[in-house]
Amino acid sequence: MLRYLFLTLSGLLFHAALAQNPITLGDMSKRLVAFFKTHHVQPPEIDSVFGRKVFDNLILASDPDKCILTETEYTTLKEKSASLSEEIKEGTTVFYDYFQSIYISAVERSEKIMQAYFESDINLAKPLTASVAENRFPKSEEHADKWKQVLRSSLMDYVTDQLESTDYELPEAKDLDTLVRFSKNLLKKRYGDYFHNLISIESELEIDYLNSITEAYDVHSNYFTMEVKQWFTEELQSERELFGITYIKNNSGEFEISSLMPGSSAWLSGEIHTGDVIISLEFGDGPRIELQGMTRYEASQLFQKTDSKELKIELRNKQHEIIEVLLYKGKVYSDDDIIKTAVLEGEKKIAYISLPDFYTNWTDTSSLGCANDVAKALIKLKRENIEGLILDLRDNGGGSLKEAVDLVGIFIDFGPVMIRKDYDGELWTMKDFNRGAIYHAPLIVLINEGSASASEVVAGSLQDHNRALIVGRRSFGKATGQSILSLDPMIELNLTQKENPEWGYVKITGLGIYRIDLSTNQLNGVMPDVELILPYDDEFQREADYPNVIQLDSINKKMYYTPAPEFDTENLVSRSLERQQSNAILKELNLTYHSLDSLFDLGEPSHLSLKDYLLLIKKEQLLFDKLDTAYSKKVTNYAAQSLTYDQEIYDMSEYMAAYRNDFLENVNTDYELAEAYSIMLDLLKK
Amino acid sequence: MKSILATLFLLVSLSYSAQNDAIAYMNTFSNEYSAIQQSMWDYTRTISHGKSARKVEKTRLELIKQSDNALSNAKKAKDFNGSTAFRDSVISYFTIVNLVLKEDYEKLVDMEEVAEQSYDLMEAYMTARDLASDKQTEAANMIGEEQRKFAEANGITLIESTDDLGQKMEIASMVYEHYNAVYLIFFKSFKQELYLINSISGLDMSGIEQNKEALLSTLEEGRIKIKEVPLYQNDETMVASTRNLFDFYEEEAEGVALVQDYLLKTEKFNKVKTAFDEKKEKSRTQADVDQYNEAVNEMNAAITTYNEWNDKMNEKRSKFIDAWNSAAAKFTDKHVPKKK
Repeated sequence: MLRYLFLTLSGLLFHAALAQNPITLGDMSKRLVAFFKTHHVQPPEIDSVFGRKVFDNLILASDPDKCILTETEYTTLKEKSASLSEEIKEGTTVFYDYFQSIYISAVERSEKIMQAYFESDINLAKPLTASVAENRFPKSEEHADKWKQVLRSSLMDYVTDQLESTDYELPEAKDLDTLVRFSKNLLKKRYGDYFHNLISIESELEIDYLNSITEAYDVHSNYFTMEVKQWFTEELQSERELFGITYIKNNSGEFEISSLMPGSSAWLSGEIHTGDVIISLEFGDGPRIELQGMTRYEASQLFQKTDSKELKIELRNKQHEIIEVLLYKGKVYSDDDIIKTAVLEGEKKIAYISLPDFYTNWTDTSSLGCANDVAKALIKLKRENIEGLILDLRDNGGGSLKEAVDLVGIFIDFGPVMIRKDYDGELWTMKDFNRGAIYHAPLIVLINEGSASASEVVAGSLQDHNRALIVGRRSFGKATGQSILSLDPMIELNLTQKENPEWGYVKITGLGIYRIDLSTNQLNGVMPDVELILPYDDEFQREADYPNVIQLDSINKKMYYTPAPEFDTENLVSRSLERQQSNAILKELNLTYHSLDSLFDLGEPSHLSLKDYLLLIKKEQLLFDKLDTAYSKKVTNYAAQSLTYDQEIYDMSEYMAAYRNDFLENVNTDYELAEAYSIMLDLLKK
Repeated sequence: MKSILATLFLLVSLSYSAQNDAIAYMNTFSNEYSAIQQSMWDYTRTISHGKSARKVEKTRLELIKQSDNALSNAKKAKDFNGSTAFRDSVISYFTIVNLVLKEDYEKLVDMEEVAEQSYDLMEAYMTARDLASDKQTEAANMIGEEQRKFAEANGITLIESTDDLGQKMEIASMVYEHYNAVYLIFFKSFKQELYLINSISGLDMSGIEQNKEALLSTLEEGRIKIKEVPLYQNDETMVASTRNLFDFYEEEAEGVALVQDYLLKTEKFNKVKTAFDEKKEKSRTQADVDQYNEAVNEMNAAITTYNEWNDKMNEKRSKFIDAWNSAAAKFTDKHVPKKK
């Protein structure tokens, strides 16, 4: 009892102390290092190598294009960073303070160069002659030239975008003059906002610094604030409260609706369309806020900071009418999250399930996530007498590991799915906790370079069990797990239930994932059994291509499972290769991409005259149109149908019907899926 | 029960004709052994004739205490003419018996290996118990072997004879051989049904479908296995009540489609309702209203069917489980000797 009292009392005292002294950046960095030492799966030593990584990360975050700092400033900063690892451990910020002062003056200098450039006469008919390499910091005397390159490229791009409606014809001199003058002013404002945001929000630079520390542990560990944490956790949920619109800032600096989320009030209103321009917003009883001249950051803050459930949105639609729509925040299924199902009717009836994300209800672990939705879809599909299933995990970036394990469980009777290595070194086998399988017939899992993490767990495990034939391309190669934790020391010591948000949060890599054959997908990815050919060179950035990635140690553990008989892969591969090599769509795409590559080699817009650049863009545009035509060719081996079971829902809701039609259209023009379908037919013939 | 009874009859009664000190040495061990045998028998009787759980637990604790003493006495024994082989085999046996009684399987088997191979904790426990029991049998065989060698080396003639206690335990062993075999088959399906019920109450569609499939395949496997179980004195009561229970489980598994129907129809109604509610009243057509009403009616019908089915299943389940328990209790009560 005494001990308990003592702890509570000292806890209170600590809290009181905190309330008096705000948490400094130094406190944060010291806390980060201490926290990662006990919670990271493979924490490195905090030495000069670590300090160097933090420095490199900070430079990359604050000056990614190497045009704000000069070579001299960079070199001086690098010298001063020698003591960085010690400072982080001790909680001092001598280097950071110095960095901040240098950086602010560099941004201010860059801004002046920018203003002078846009205020000068710019002759777009004459290409730039001076050239400063992109991959290094400029010498002091080259600084203005480097910016000129960047700014001129932006100007050329902006001007050419405005000429899209006239098919990129070079306008009359007078019109061109007006267009250039307008564009210069607009870009000056836009770059002005950009520079302003870089230094005006002090905490942004501090967050960059803290992130540079976490990312020195590994690329997936991040620091974030309360607001970002909320956004991040919401991202992983199938149901979130939203108005249901996403927007982009278009080239005219206006905010344009870029998508509507099915089921949201924006979607259901039927009055808002993509491409509409937002004029003003009115949250609840708040004032009318005009968006003109606002930065993206400022606009996103409006949405993030409001508690209001109602939003009156004023729009200009494509007919140039001004309309007002009342939206309310509601739970919606977002376009990217929900599973989509179709029956592919051809020589055989094959089911198709597309799962773009392993969503779950993050805050309520007892509730059911995507695995249960897939199960429901399968139960309906089984009633349609399907003979095979294609599960599409292409571009599925992962999500909940529990859902991944449950999803594998749908297809195997019982047994291990993956091995987890925790930060304390313990190894745990994660098993399918439901004996029995929902689906026993042939299964193909589609993966590609964008299939990561939980997707790779599913593909890898089903491959180890010989339960699914994996078709596609080598996956991303991420086999680590992250959790979001509060940095508040009182939480770690169990002295309080509610964290102090001022400490912020970390997404920390706390576990490594291994396959049941004891190998790991980390850096390696899942190798497909049958490869789908890309119509262009594979230039994707996978996990192994990032800096500061974790290389997991090898493990030793007893594993017991009985894989199904092996597939006749050799035969399936050769048949598929033959088909793909004679595929007309692939051939067309391949030729077009090659032509595009040779165009791209012609050079940067800053070193071309506007006339030559427009010619180049025209040629490019023709090729892009060609790509569009090839990608939208209907496949011939099946026609996609929706589930008859859901027909009444589509009958009732025209939005859902439109949504379904879009999806079916995509399925009917997916030449990769068509190849997977043919492979399934080969599998069934055996 | 299996682990205790499996190795009860391995030490034999003996008579002897030579070397009093060697005989006395052997006796120290066999006296301990006889005492434990008697306690084990008491325990067996207690659990076989419907005694209270408290009484059963009390007897088990006494047995553990006695085995602790036996082990400590065996450890105190000295070598005989420089040889410790016989004594060591006895120590090893008592050690294992002691651990088995305390269900401390971790010290006997590689639990990580067992856990990795098992589907759930209950299966891991049962596998561990079986493996421990095998070890106990091995250890008992080892005592027999060492005892034979000791007797031979010291000119003792061993004569196998069966006393009254031995006979009673042999009968009990045969009774429990049948009981355990049936119990294992019953238990697997019983447990699988429990998983199914849990998924139903969690509205876990994936779990429902998987556990239904698993229950059906467990029943199929169980029906084959139960045919192969040897009967004790042609008593078919336990087998018959297990078969009745299997028929019920099958009916229940087949009926799960009603639960799924209810869940899918509810989900569909909710979607239809959302779409309906979002439409402005004036833009709703008669077809929309009809469709909404149809969805309500479909869902209500599904709920009624599900509830009726659920009540029927609950009633039948109690009936067949009670019948099984009663058959099992009567079976041991009837066949295990009652005498002390």
